[in-house]
Amino acid sequence: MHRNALMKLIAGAFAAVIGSPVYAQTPVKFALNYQVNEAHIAYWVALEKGYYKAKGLDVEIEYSKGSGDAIAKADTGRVDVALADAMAVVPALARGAKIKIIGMVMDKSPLNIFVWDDSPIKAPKDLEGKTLAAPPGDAQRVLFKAFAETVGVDSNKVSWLNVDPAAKVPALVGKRVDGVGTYYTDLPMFEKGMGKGKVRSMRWSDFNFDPYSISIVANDKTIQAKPEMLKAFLEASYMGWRDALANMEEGLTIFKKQVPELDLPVARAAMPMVFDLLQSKRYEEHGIGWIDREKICRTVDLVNTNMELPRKPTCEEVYTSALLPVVKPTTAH
Amino acid sequence: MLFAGIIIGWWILVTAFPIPEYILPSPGAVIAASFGKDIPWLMHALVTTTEIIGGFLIAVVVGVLLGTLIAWSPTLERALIPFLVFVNTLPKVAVAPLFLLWFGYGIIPNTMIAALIGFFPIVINTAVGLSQTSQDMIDLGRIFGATDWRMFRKIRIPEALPYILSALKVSVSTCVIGAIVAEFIASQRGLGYVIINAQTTLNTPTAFAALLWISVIGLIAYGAVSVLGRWLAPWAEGDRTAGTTL
Repeated sequence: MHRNALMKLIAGAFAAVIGSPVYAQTPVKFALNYQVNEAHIAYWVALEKGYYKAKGLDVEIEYSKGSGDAIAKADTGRVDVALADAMAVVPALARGAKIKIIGMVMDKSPLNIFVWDDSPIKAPKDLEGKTLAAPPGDAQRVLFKAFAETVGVDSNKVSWLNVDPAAKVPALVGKRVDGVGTYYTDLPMFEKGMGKGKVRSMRWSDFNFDPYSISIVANDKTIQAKPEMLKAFLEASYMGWRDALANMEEGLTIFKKQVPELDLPVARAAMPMVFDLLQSKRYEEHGIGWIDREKICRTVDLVNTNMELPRKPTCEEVYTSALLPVVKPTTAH
Repeated sequence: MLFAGIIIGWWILVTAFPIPEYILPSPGAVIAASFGKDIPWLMHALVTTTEIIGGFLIAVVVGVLLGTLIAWSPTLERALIPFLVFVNTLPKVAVAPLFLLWFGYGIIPNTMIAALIGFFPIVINTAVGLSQTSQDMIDLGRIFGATDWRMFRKIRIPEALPYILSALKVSVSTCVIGAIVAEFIASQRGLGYVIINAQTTLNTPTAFAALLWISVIGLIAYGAVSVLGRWLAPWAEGDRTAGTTL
């Protein structure tokens, strides 16, 4: 009797260990494109709610020093999947990286220029003769010539100051430049330094200039060898976005718990702007992260035209929709 | 020999392994980029060199002055040293955006950041050097009735020169770093500007080429300080047992 009970105990323990999710989890390294910001909320939500775990993924999130750094990590296999600006993917491919965009994040463009509210810059034409600041790799900087052509501005009459991302706000606060090129979602950060109501935006999407921006990338080897892992990762991530879009406060609570150094008031102020960039008819119809072929090809053309690259990658090289899941937002646009 | 070995090893590495150029370019690609026509190298190098020289000169004047004050007065030493250590340990990458806010951008603020990084070794070594004067020489000066100022000029400073000259060599190298850090934060010209721009398109050969030119400028600056030291104080440069606290 005792021996039977002991055997059952041993068998039960053995089954528990073998069946334990710990042994079924695939490790996945995921690089964000930068230090944590509001546009990363979904991945922490997915982590906290166990969406990655439920799909057998043990996801470890790490930071990067920009899209170029994140792309290099994915290309060399140091991470399995990364966030990167779509416009950084094109030059990377031109220089030999073997990566692809496997899903989008924002469907609408966050491209923008901030100025003081009392600035004489009230329309794009007023940018001529002025000095703007942005890190050299920022989308606003790279695509400014194309934007200028769209709105009838002579881009040669606009000067640019290279700044580190950390210097963007001081550059405008101190009125060292006339405007700063940065994502529209940075508004709360600028208002923190300049005062509420003191910042005026020039959103490029208001002028029908609307290329793709943040995307999810993986290298070609991983796409070939682990498509199911990537599909699962995308699905869990977009489920995180779905939940964050549906319940912002819950998402912020999770975000703050996972990332204690998060500036919650700034994040709370910026989040509706981030969400606005994901709320579109396209995503409602096709699912979050869906890649519109015409838009991605237009984005690739813009980069090829405006950056000096050793070769011009084709649209087909840049992305694949083969791994996209269908996770639709629960809140309508 | 060491340089040659490193370059050969580097060439073997990129030839033997399929390393993408944007991760590690070949030595040939870097040399080609260094003399390429796409980048106005001379203009950018002149801007960075101006910041380095300006920062170094400020560091020398401020460093020697503060070091002298510290050596002169124990009260000043107690007052200044903690503050100077505090300033020196501030991460300059974090301070540089504040310089943009306070002073704007361009050669002058970048020169100030270079000076901020370069002055500390000079302060410390000047103070130590001036305090290390041999007692025999001080006694000799007193026997001949030398005033404090005369003893300072004729005995203390010459005896402190090995320490000061060592610090100058360290300082000129750190001024190079300071100028580049400043250009990373805010610039429209300079070799740091070239690096940041090149990195955005993953143009690593050009970024490496800028690093090469920065190293050349650093080597020339170091060599110039060494030559100046031998000319100003040949006895100090010849005494290899004397002074560095670094």
